[in-house]
Amino acid sequence: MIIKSPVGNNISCKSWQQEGLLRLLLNCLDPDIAKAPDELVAYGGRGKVARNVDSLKAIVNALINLENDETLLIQSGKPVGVFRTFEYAPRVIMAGALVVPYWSNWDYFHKLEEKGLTAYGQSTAASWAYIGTQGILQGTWETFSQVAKRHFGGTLKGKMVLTSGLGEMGSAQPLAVTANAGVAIVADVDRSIVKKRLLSSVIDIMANSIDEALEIAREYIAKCEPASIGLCGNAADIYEYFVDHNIIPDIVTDQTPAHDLKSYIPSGLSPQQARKLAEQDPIQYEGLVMETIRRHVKAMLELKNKGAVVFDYGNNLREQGRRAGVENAFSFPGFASEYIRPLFCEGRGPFRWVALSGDPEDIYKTDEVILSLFKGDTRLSDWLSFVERRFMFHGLPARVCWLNYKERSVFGKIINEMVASGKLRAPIAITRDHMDAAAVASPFRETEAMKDGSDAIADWPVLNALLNCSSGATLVGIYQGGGVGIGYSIHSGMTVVADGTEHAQKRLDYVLKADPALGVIRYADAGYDAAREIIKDPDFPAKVLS
Amino acid sequence: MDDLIRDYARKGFLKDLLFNDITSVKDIWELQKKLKIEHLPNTVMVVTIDNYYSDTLNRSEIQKQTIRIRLYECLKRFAEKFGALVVNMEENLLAVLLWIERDKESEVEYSMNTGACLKEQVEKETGISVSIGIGRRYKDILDLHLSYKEALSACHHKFFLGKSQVIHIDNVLPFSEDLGIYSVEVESQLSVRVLACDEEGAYNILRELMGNIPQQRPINPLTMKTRLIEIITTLMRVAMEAGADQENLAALSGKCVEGILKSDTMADLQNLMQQAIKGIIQQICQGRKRMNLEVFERALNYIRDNFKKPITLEEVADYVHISPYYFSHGFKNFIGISFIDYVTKLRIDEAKKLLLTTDMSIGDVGKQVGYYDPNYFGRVFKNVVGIPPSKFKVSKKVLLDRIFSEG
Repeated sequence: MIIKSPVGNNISCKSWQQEGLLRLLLNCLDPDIAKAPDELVAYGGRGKVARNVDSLKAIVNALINLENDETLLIQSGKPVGVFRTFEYAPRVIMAGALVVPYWSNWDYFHKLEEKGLTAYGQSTAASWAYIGTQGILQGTWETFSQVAKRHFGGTLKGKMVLTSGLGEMGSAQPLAVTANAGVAIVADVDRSIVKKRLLSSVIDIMANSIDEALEIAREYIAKCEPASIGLCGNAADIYEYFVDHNIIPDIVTDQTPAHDLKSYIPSGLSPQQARKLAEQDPIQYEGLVMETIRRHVKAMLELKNKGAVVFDYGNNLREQGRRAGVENAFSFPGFASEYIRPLFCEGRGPFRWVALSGDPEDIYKTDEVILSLFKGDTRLSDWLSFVERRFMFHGLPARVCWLNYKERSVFGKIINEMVASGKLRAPIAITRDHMDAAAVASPFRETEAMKDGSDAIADWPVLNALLNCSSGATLVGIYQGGGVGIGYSIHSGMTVVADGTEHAQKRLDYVLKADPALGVIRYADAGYDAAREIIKDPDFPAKVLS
Repeated sequence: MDDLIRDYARKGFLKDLLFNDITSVKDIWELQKKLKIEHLPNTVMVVTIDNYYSDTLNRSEIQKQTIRIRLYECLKRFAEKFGALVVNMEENLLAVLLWIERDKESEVEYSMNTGACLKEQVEKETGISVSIGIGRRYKDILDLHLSYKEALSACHHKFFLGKSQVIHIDNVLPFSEDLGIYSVEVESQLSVRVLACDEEGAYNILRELMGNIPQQRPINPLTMKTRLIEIITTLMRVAMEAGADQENLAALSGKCVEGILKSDTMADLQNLMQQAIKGIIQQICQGRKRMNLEVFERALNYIRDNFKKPITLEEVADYVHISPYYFSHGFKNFIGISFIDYVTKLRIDEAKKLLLTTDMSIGDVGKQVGYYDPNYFGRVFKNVVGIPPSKFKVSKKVLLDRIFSEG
C-alpha cells in the first residue's frame, strides 16, 4: 500500500485546519520520505506516526469527520476520543511514549510496546511534522555556520574540518561544511558508502589514503575554495594519524554510529568482517568496539589540546568513551550546548512550513518573501540559496529556516495573508522540530550543562505544550525519548495551519509568539544573559515574572 | 513558445539532466514548468539498435537517418503512453525518461515490463531489432544521471546476451575487469600462426579464446575490446616486420579498430576478429610475394656478375640474406629452373660466345667461364649444347666464314 498526501485545493475534512493535519500525517508516510512506510515508520530507527494500521485508519477517519469545535485525542499513536472543545482549541492533542519516570527505560518500554500499549514516535514522526532530510541538513548547516561565527569570523573559508560518518545523518556534514566555504575530510570505513556519496555529489572527491586526502585538502585550503573529501578508513585510525603527525585540523567532530555499539565498526575490520564477528562473537565484538572508541575519543581530546575546535555531534561518543575508560571524555562539549544554545537564547529555532497544495511554487514564493522580509540576514539568504540549489522536494514541499521569536510571528502573518489573497495555491502548515528552546529537555543534547544545572528539568516542554494548547495551535503533543531514546528526553511538538482566515491569523499570532517566547524565558531563567536581555524588551510578548 | 521550439528545448533540457549539467533544483523546477513537463523523470532507459554499425556500414547517411528517425518517432509514440519522454543522445542511442511512482519492491518489475512492452511494440512496428538497458529509480532529480549511467551499463550486457534484450541493472552483475585469459602466451601463439599464414590455426586459437568467456561474471566488453585491439596491433606489427605493406596495414588497422569498438555482440566481435586476422595474413602473403621479387632479382644480378667465379648457392643465399633452403626453392619458383642449371646456362652461353669470337683454347674458355677442369667443362658443354666444344667451335666457324664471304 502506497500512502501519499493529497494535494491541491479539494479537501476531504471539514476545514483546512483538520485537512492540514491529515495531509501532514499522510505525508510522513510518503515512500519518498518515510524510512519504512509499511511499518508506519517515518524516520530515526523506529519513529512511528501511528500505533498500527488500524489506528492510522481510525485517525484518518476521525480527522475527516472532525468538527470545527472538536478535538481528537491521540495516545501514543492511537486515537482514543473526540471531545467537544472550542473553535480555537487544537483539533488534535497527543501524548506519546510517556512512561512514569521510574519505569522510563528501553527494557520496560519494549515490554509495553509488545503488549500494544504504546508506540515510539521519535519527535516529528509522532507529531506528523516529519518532512524528510531537509531538517537534518539545516540543523547541520546551522551548527557549522555557528562554529564559523564563533571561531572563524563567520566563514569556514580556508579551514579544515575533520569528521567521520557518511550515513543518513552524517552525510549532511560535507554539504554543510562546503556551504560554509570550508574544506571537509569525512572518513567512513564503508567504501561502498563513500562511493555512493560520491556518485550523488554529497562529497566532491574520494581519497584512498590519508596522505592523498590531506594533499587535496591543502590544495583547496591554499586556493580558499570549498571541497569535501570522502576518505575510506576507520575514524579512530585516521584521527590518531593526525595526532601522530601533528596535523591539526581547525575543527574536529564525528558522526559515526557510536550511539549504537552494534553498528560502530572496530579498527582493523571491514564492515563485512564486523557484521560477521558481531553475529558470531558479540562479546569479543563489543570489546573491540570499546577499544576503538577509546582511541577515537583520546585522539579527539589530543587534537583539542593541540588547538582544534572539537565537539561531540550528538552521537553519544563521549559517554561511550567514558565507559571505555577515558575519564576526561567530556572535556570537549556537545554541539547543542556549545553552538545551538546561543540561538535558543534568542528564541531562534527550527521553524518549518509545508505547502499543503503540493506545489513547489508556493514554497519558492515564501522563500522570496522571507528574503525580502529579512534582507541583510546573510545567514538566511545563504541557506536559502544553498537549499534551493541542492534540495529537491519530496512529498509535500516544505522549507526549514531557523527564525527567532519575532520573525516567526511576522512571517506567519504574511503567510496567512498570502493564502488569503490567493498568492499561494493552498494553505500552509507551520510547524517545527522538537529541538527548540522550550520544547525539549534532553540532558545529553539540547539541555546538556545548563548554566543553572536544570538539564533534566522536564517542566518546560510540558509547559510549552500546555501553552501552545492555550494559544490555539492546531496540533499539540508531548512525547518522550526522541533523538536520544527512552528515559533521556521529554519534548513537545506543535503545528498551526495558516488557512488564510482571520481565525487562523489569531491562532498564528498567539502560537508563533508564545512558543518561542517561552524558550527565551526558559534560558533567561537558567541564567543566560542573552535571553535575559531579550525579555527586557518592552515588545517581548509575555510578562516575565521570574 | 510554439510546439516545435518547446520540443527542441525539452530535448536540450532532458539531455542536460542526463549529463548532470543543471546544478540547481529550483532551475530544474522552473524549466519543468516552462517546458510543460508534468512529472520530472526518476528512471532512465536507453535504447540501441542492434548491430547498427555492421548493418549500416554500406548505407548512405540519409538511409541511416531514416532508420533512426523511424525508431525515434515510434518510440516516442509508445513512450507517451507510459508518460515517458524520449531524447536522442548519440547516433545509436536513445534515452527514455520515465516517471515511476512505485514502491521499491515492484520498481524493477515495473520498469522491466515497461521496457519489454516498448521493445515489442517498436520491433513489431518498425522491424528494427533493439535492446534496452534500464537504470534504477532515483527520487532526487540531481541523481537522474546515475540512472542513465546504470542504463548504459545494463545495455552493455547485451554484448554477451545477444540482441533484442531488456536488461535491468539490478539483474546483472557488474562486469569483471579480469583479462587473465587474454594472456601474452595467447598473443604469441596467434603471432606464430599468423606468421605461418595458417588461417585455420589462428581461427582455432581465436575461437577457443572467445569461447572461454566466463558467463558468471562477464568481462567488461570495453576492456575486452581494448585488449583485442592490442592483440590486433601486435599482429599488425608482426606483419609489418614480415614485410607487409605499411599503408595497407594502417588502413586495415583503422577499419578493424573501429569495427571492434562498435561491435554489438560477442558473435559480431568474433566475426570481426576473424576478418582482421584474415586481412593480416593476406597482407603478409602479399608482402612476401613482393619481397621475393626483389630478393631474387638481386640474386640474379649477383649471379650474372659472378658466374665466372666458382659461385655456390650458399654464397648467393647469404648475399640476399635468406636461408639456402628457402633460396633454393624460391629461386626455382621465381625463374623456373634451379640455381645450378641457371649458372650452367650462363656459363655455357658465355663459353659459346668466346668459342665463336676468340681464338682462345677450349681449356682457357672453360677457365674463363668458371670451369677449372677442362674435361668437366667438355662434359657439361656437350650435355647442354649436344656437341663437344671443339666441334662447336669448328662448325660454327665454318658457318660464319660462309656468311661473311657471301656477304
